[in-house]
Formats: sequence, structure tokens, C-alpha cells
Amino acid sequence: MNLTRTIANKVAQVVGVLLIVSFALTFLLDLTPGDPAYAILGDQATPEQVAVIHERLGLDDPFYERYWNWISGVVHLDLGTSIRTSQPVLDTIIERLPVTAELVVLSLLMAIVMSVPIGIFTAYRVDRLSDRAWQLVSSGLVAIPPFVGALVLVYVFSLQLTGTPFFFPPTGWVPLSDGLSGNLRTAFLPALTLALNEVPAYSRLLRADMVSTLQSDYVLAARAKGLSTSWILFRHALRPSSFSLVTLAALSTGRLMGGSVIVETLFALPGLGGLLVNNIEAKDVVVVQGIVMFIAIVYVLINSMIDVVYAQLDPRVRSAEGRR
Amino acid sequence: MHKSRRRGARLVALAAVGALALAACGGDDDTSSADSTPTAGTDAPGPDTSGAVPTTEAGAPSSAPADTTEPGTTAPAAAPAAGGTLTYLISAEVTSMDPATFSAMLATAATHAPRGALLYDGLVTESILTGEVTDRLAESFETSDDGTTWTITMRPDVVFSDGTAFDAEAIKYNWERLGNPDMSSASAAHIAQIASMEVTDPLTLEVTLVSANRQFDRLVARSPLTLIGSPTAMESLGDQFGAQPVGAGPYVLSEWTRDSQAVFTKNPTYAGTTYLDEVVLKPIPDETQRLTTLQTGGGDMMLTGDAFTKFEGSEMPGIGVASVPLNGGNVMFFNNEKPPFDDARARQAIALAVDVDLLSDTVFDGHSTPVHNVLTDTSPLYDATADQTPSDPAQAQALLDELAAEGKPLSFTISTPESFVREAEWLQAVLSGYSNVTVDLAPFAQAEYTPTTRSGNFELLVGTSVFTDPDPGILNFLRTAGSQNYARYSNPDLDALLDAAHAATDDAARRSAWTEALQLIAEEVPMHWLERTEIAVLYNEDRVVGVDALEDLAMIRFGDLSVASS
Repeated sequence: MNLTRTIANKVAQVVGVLLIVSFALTFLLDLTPGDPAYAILGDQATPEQVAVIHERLGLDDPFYERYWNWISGVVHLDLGTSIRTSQPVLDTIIERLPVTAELVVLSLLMAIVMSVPIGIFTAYRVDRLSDRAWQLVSSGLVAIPPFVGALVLVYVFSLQLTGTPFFFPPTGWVPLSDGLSGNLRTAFLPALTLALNEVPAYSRLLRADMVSTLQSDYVLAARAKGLSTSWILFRHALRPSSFSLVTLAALSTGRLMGGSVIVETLFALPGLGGLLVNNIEAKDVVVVQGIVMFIAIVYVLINSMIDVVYAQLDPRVRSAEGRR
Repeated sequence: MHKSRRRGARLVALAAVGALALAACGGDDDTSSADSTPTAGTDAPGPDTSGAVPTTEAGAPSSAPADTTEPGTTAPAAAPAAGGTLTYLISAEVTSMDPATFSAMLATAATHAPRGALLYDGLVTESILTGEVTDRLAESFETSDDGTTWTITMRPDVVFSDGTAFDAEAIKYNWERLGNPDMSSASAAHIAQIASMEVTDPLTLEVTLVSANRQFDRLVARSPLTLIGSPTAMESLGDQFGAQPVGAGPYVLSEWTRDSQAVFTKNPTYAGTTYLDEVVLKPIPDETQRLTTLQTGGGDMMLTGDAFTKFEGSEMPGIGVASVPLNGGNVMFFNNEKPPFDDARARQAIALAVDVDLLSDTVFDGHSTPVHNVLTDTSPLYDATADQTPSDPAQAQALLDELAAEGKPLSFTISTPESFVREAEWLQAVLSGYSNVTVDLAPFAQAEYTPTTRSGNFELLVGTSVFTDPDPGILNFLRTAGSQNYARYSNPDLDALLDAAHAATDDAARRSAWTEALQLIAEEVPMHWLERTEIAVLYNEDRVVGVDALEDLAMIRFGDLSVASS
């Protein structure tokens, strides 16, 4: 209940998790096939050329030495330089971050905008036809992997709706600096692809919480008082039911950043996901490690913040912790 | 307090709706090439847009793409219109536009080659079809003797886009840079063939090779050696040159957002002619999405190496196809160094069991081209007597029985990277129809391909052996100690024939020498080719003019292309 103690605990947990992640990451990357020397030199490289590259980049050093060199840089915010391009990894990440960040934020917003009305409505109409229908549809949505969903959306919005105002381009990215409308048009399909993966979970979570909230005494009292249905749903029932949704949405940022890998490759967006894929293929381990650590740090920080903020938001959690 | 919260929620909802409406109604403010309203055609010379180049070849191979025939408009070929933007959808991004980072063989590096052509044009160029090497920015590139000494003379008054003179010193600087071990260039192996270079006068460079090579100009034309950058820029920019390249080509790089687009604008000091104001390169890794983008007008031209994509594109209205098959193709590498394929009979048995036409029909629905002869029939060196062993199941079984009778029935593993799993599975299925042969399948990740070729850790490997000219193509793959001799084949008789072909003086002599060499290869079967690799360009027929006149679909001469005025 002491805020500083909570935060200190959080920091310790965060550091611990990040250390484990960084170690596992480096270890796993070591196991992957491929040799970055061939990505640089091409497949006609002579063994001598390969040896020169290995020597220059320390690729033959033992595992713990490479890990230590890298992690000691990371704590100084130096994520190393790319094996292929010699560019600092952190600079490259910051260059590509806005695209992925916008994608994640947009898809989160779209998912919430779609899920909240559905969640409320299906809770209100619990066990009726619309509720059952949504259970079916949402199961279907969950079953569709993002790369299939993306192609279906492209088929509908890019091919079938060509020439209409509802046409959205199948690939490409117009940055915010070049205009909001162009940017939103190119972001729409990718964000929708990711959002559709989240909507089933969000809507059903909200529905479940709403259903139990709607059965509580104070809601009964409100109805007895004669308050309108929409007032009860939105003003009395929604806020206490939304904590799980908020938590899930925050936790989803990790999943959305991961999902951006597929979406960015399919829609040819210059974000972190596409960068990750290219560098995994070329086995540019420094860049891969840098990106994954960056995502891990962001994810862990968000989760920790949520824990702290949650306690502030929900008085019941605060008092529960106080009683311990 | 209640009211302000409600108002807040409404504002957010309104903003969201407004943003979406803005997006939908925002109009088409993508690159200007996105307008897809076809105009009554200014058309390319000649209505035929299938195949590679308007040649006099009447008989296209039967598996050539069934292309859309031009709808009647055969107006007299109008002069290409100046101006406009062309958007080229390409399959991958590059890390750098420095020729030192490019692949050693540009013809097969369909991602490096167009950037090279845009920024640097070339000293010399090789026509894929005719095999002729012609000068571009160089005035002449000749050997005075048997190919040991070469003299390169530059055209006068050629400058790089930063004003530096493009002279003999520039060529020497670039080639020394390529050979510098610190640059780790894949082209260093080519530079290693050069013994010395001397600038005899400002525009003339004399190159002495380590050993005679009559095909040196061809090698230069096909590799990053033909791409010369400004020495001034290379000196001052150092390792930033790849991001801010300076060449003497038709276009200069004006904007580059990696993995999004690279914009090239007209180079005012270019020594040749250009029509287009701007060329935009957009990398789109996914094949289907690239085709959809072309279809919806997000691009004017796209590159593909996939037989299915090419076929689908050719079926679409308004989309033309130009394609060029390269020599060789994908291939079965036998490991000739160890059992069981150190025995020629085992190799021959497999070659006889494989019906490449059936492979094309079964796995590729007939859209790929089977390899009957290592060289394409449009190659000037082609000779039908040098065909690979055709399929003969009875003889294959006879050889397998012979091996079994000796107590060593044929049993081996097919190693394959992900890209050739279908071919490998087909092979296994076909061979299961024979007795006295057992086949296992060992697929591996694409990234393992090069290490596997290097280590020799395979018995039969499905891989790739593609080249524009057998010199140095076949030399690399099959000469003893060749740089790509993954098959680990060493035959002094073949070496002698290959050396003779390498030293041949004119095309007729080359052709007969290569025919002999290929006949021995067909007999010994150290490698057996399966399907052609094709580079295909799909393009908007109503907009892009000049694609069928292109001689090379990897090094696309964008200066020769134009767009119909819209």
C-alpha cells in the first residue's frame, strides 16, 4: 500500500524479467540456422572472406562473451550496431517505431470502439438470439488467422470496392507528415486486421463482466428507481465492468506488436515488424535482439504501469491490498 | 460533472467517426501513378507483348504465357511522351545502393539490378537474348590480344550527377574499392582476376588480367563492375555512400524511406535520353499483395519470379507480361564426392527417372518451363544435340537393378530448402514407383541453403544454378574448384572442354565448344536441371510504353520507358 514500495517491487520484477528475456533471446538466436556473413557477402563468398567477417564482428567469440558485451551496452541504452549496415540499432528502431506505434494504437482503438457496444448489447440481450449469434461470429473471427483475415479484407476493400469511396489501398504507407487522410487510408486495413483478432476476446470479456454486474443489487435498485435502460447500462454498469477489459487491452499491446510482424509484411509497411522479419532472415542478430528487447521493455513497462494504475483506479483493489 | 463526461464521450465518438469519414473521402492522394483510368492507347511499337523482346523468333515455346492479345489498336507507334511517374513494385528492399554491396551476378539479382540501372547505367551491357555485349557509357571495351589485356575508353564529357568527371581514373578507383577486403564485396572475386590497371590517358584504362579471359567484358556487363559511382562522393561519404549514392545513370535518388519507397528523379546531366520525370520503387515482399497492388493501380509495373503469379497476372485484363528465361534453372545437385552418387550409374538412374515435363504439369499446373537443354533455345549458344538425358523409366529401372545386383541398392536422402520442397516431394513420389530405390526427404530452413552447399552435407540437394552465359556460369558450377561447385565434381576431361570453351575466339567456335562440354555433362550427369527460372515483369498495358523493347528485365533501362500521357 506504500506507493514507493510498490514501485520498487515493480522495478525489481521488471529488471528480472528483462534479464531472463535477454538471455533466452540471445541463446535462441544462437541456435537458429544461417550465418550473417553470407547475407553480407552473397553465396559465392570464399571461406576466407567469411572468416574475415567473423573476425571483424566477433561472431566466433564464445556465447557468454557476446552476451555480456551486448547486455552491458543495453543498460547504457546502446543496442549495438547492425551487422549488415553498421547503423546503430536504436536509431533504426526509433525511425521505424512511429509506424508500428500508430498501428498498435489505431487497432486498439478500433477494437475497443467495436467491442464495447457489442459487449454491452450482448450482455443486455444475454442468451437471446443476438447473443448466440455473436458467440458464433466471434468464434469464427478468432479462428481466422491474421494473414487470412488480411487477404479477405484486401479482397473486399481493395478489389471489390475499387472506384468507390470505400476503396482502401492494399499496400503502402503514407506517413502522418504527408497528411492525415492519406495516412489513415493506408493504416485502415492493417489496423482493422489486427483489431478483428482482438474484438472477440474484448467483447466477450466485457459481456461476461457486464452480465454479473447487471445482476448486482445496486442495478436492481436503479431499475426500481425507474432509470432508463441506457442510463443503467452506460452510467452504472459499464465502468465497474470495464476493468478487465482495460487490463486485457493493455496486455494486448504485446500481442499487437507481435501481430504487426505479419501485417507489416503483408501490407508492406515500414515498421518494426517488417524490420524484424528482414533481419531474422539475414540473421542480423544484433538488430533482432535490439528490437525484441525494445518490445519486451515496452511490454513489461506497460504491464507494470497497469498494475500500479489499477490500484489507483479501483478502490476495491486498494482496500484489499491495505487489509493484507 | 456528469454532463461534461457525457459530452467528452460524445466528442470522442464524433472524432472517431469524423476521422474515418475523412479517410474514406480523402481522395486518392497516393503517388500520382495510382490513377488507373486507361487512356486510348498510345501503344508500344508492335502489338505483341508476350515473351521477352520483339525478336524474329516465330515459335515461342509452348509453355510461353498465353498473353492478352492487344485489342485492335494498331495506331502508328507514337513518339514516347516525356514526363510522368512510373511506379515499379519490386520484391525486396536493399540495405544499400552501393554497388559494392550488390550481388556478384546482377542478372539473377532482380532487386539489386534495377537500382543499379537507375543510378549508374553501366559501362557495358549484355543482351540476354542475343548474347551481344554492347557499350553504354564506355565508348569502347576491347581486348587487343587473346583476352589478357583489355582497353576501356570512356566517352568524353560524361559526368556523375555531382559534376565529377567520369573518366578512366573513376573506373580504376571503383574497381580497386570493390577489391578492397574492408569493403567485403561479393565482387572481390571478379576483381581478383585483374592483375593490374593503368590509366594511360584521362579517358583510357588499360587492364591486364591474371590469365586470358575473352569473356571479361561479358563478366563486367553482368556484374557490379559495370556500375561506376562518383569517387568524390565515395571518398567524402564513406559508408554513407550506400544511402546517398551518386552515379552517372539516368536518375538520381531523391528520397528513400526504407521498406516503403525510393523515389528517383531525372538526372539532368545524364549522357543519354530519359522520358520519365520520376521512377518510384516500392518493395512489397508478398507476391499476392504485389499483384493486387498492380491490379488496383498502386503500381505500373511489377517484378515476379513466380510462375503462378505470372500466369495470374497474364490473365488479368489490361496487364501485359514480359518475361525472360535465364539459362539453367533449379537443379538437382548430386554430391559426386561420396556414395552413392560418386557412381555415375546412380546419377544417370535418377536423371532417367525424372520426367521434367511431368514435374511442370503436376507441381506447377503447366505454368513453369521444364529444362530440356541447359541453355534456352533463344541463346546464341544453343544446340539441340546438347540436350539433357530425357526420361526413360525402363532404363532407369535397369540401372537401379544393376546397382542392387551388386549388393548396393540405391538409398539416399533428398535435401531441400523450403523454396523447393514441392519439387523434392514430387521427386520422392516419382522414385517410390521404382523398385530397388529408397528415398528420404530432409527439408531445411532457407537460411541453411548456403551453409549446406558449402559443407557438402548432402547426397542430393535441390538447389539453384542460374546464369546468363555458361561463361562463367557452368565454369563456376562444374569446373574443378569452381566457386560454385557444390556438386563437388572433378573431371579432367570436362575441365579440358570447359577451358577450350573459355578460350574460344568467336561465337561459332564458342557454340561448338560449349555443345561438346554440355554433351559430356549430359552423359555424366553431375547435376541435372529441372525447371527454368524466369524473371517476369507484369505491367499496366495502357500506361507503360516500351517494356517489350527491353533487352534485360533485371537491369531495366528506365530511360527507355515512358508512360502514356493521362
